[in-house]
Parts: sequence; C-alpha cells; structure tokens
Amino acid sequence: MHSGGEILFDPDGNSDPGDIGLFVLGTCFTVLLQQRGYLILHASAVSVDSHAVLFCGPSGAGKSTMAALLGMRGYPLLNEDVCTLNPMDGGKYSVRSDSRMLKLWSETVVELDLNQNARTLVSEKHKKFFVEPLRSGIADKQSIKALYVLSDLEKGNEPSLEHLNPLEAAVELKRNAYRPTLVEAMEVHEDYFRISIGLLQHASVYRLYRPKDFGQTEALFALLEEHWRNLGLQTSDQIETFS
Amino acid sequence: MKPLHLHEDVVIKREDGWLAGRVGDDLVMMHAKSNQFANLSATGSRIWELLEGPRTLKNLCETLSCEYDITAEEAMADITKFLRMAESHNLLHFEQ
Repeated sequence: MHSGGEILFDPDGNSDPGDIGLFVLGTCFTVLLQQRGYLILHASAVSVDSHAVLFCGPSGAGKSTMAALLGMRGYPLLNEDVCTLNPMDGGKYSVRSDSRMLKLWSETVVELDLNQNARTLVSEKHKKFFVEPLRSGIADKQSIKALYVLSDLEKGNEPSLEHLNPLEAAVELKRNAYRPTLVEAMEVHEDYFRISIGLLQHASVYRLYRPKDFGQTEALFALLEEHWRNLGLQTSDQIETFS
Repeated sequence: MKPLHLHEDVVIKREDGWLAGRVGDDLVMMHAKSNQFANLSATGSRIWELLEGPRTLKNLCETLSCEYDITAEEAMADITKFLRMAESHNLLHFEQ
C-alpha cells in the first residue's frame, strides 16, 4: 500500500482467491482510504428517499441481512459491509455505492428466498454467498441521515430504537470502525474523531434492538419506517410483501 | 475523597492529548492514547475553553462569575466541583 494510491499484492499460490479478494477489497482498501484521510465504518447502507441510512455492528451482527431485508422492502443497497464517509459541502457526510454484492449465509439466502440472486461462494473458508441485491444502481452520493447500531433483542420483546447521546454515539462510531486496529496502527485517531464529530452534527445514532430471526420482520419495518417518516423521509410506497 | 477546597492560587492545566468537538451544546472529547471518552455540558465546556492556557482558580472564578452573573463564592463552589470531577477523569491537573 503506497500513498493512498497503490495496492501491490503477491499471492503465495496456496491462498484461496476468494480470501485474497476479501482481504484486498476490505483491509487493504481501508489502509489506502485511511492514508487519504477518510473514515471507514463497518456498516451496510441502504437508500431511503435519496438519503443514506447505515447499519453497523461487528461481523455476524446482521448488517448484510438487514440490507437484504430492506432491499426486499424496496430500499436500494448502497454499501455492503464497508462505508466510506465522504465530506460534502455544508459539513455533511455522504456515502456512495461501490457496487459490492451482499454476502449472506446460505440459510439466509434460503430463508429470504433469494436463491435466484445467489452467485458464487465468497471463499472456501468463508461460507457465505455473494448475492446480487434486489435493488441497487444508485450512482449519486447520498447524505447520511441516520446510523443504527445493531443489537440483539431479548426474546419476547418488540423491536425498538434508542437514541444515543453524542458521547455514546462517538464511542459507537469508534467501536464500529471497519478495522479498529488499523485506526490504532496508522494513528489516524485525530482524523477519525474529527470526521465522527462532523457526522454527529448532521446525523443521529440509534441502537436498534431487533430479532435475529425473521419472525418480527413486519414489526421491524414498521418501526424503521415510522422513524424515517419522523426524520422527514418518504418511505417506500412500493411495498413488496414479505412472507 | 479529597477535600473540595482548592486554594485560589492553584494553577489549572489541561492534560495533553484530548481531542474535543462540539455536537449541539455538548463538547465530546476523546483521549486517543487511552481511548477514553468524555462529554462536557455547556458550563463545563466553557471552562475547558477558558483553560486553553493555564489559569489560576481565582482568575477562572472571576471570569465565570462575570459571564454567568453570579457571585465569586457561588462560582467557586460550582467550579471547584467541576474541576475535581474533571481531574478524576484525567482531563486536567492542578499545580500549586
């Protein structure tokens, strides 16, 4: 990785090309973009009324599943797993689609009836499938309106949202760096913090408690869409039923 | 627990390494090396601003009692409380 402009790699011949792809497009790209002064979040994003809403959490938290579900509801995919924050005029931050496919466990593909969209296995080690998003193709930068930290819901409870104060939000943004160890190793704390504060001046962060199974999907949609309408966003009027 | 009383000639200095950014009325702070976070409300963040350079407690009290239109004694009590709290979170330290 060099000067934010070049990635050179030399596979050792025994590595799975899928793993190399993941590493280059994930970790290596993050190094490159951090060299350019960007903040990279471990998040997936969908477009709601020409704005971006982000879902973040550690690996396995359900970021891609959330994006897939919202795709079925009519919200186009912007980012899968990696969100690079771009500064806009007026101090806001935006994300832009990089055309990545979703990465979903085979059970999720079956459960969501996305077999037709499933492509190849991500890698031998990583038993997920690349899945073509149902809706995508948004080329414009979209300003970030809200960010949700995915948290598991206790059994028997309804999905719910909790607004985080600026301190809690800043802690979550730091925690949800795409590669927190790279923020440490590259000593880009100052850039990271400055961009986090800039983001929080225009976008709010919430904890989203939702079930990991698909039993309460309708309640989850209702909760999010009500929230988006309260934020002044128009929700999908082309509601596709999910069963 | 240390006594709340601080001598008015004590010099108050910020600890190094804190980054701060304003979100609404809050001042969100992060210490990169220790990965500590802190949040100061309106008054606290005003004190932090005033401490850009070292100040004596007396100077701080005089400045704030003017700004907030309260007596120096009232200011002293509130400021001392804040300073003790801020010191315990490694935001600042005292020099005699």
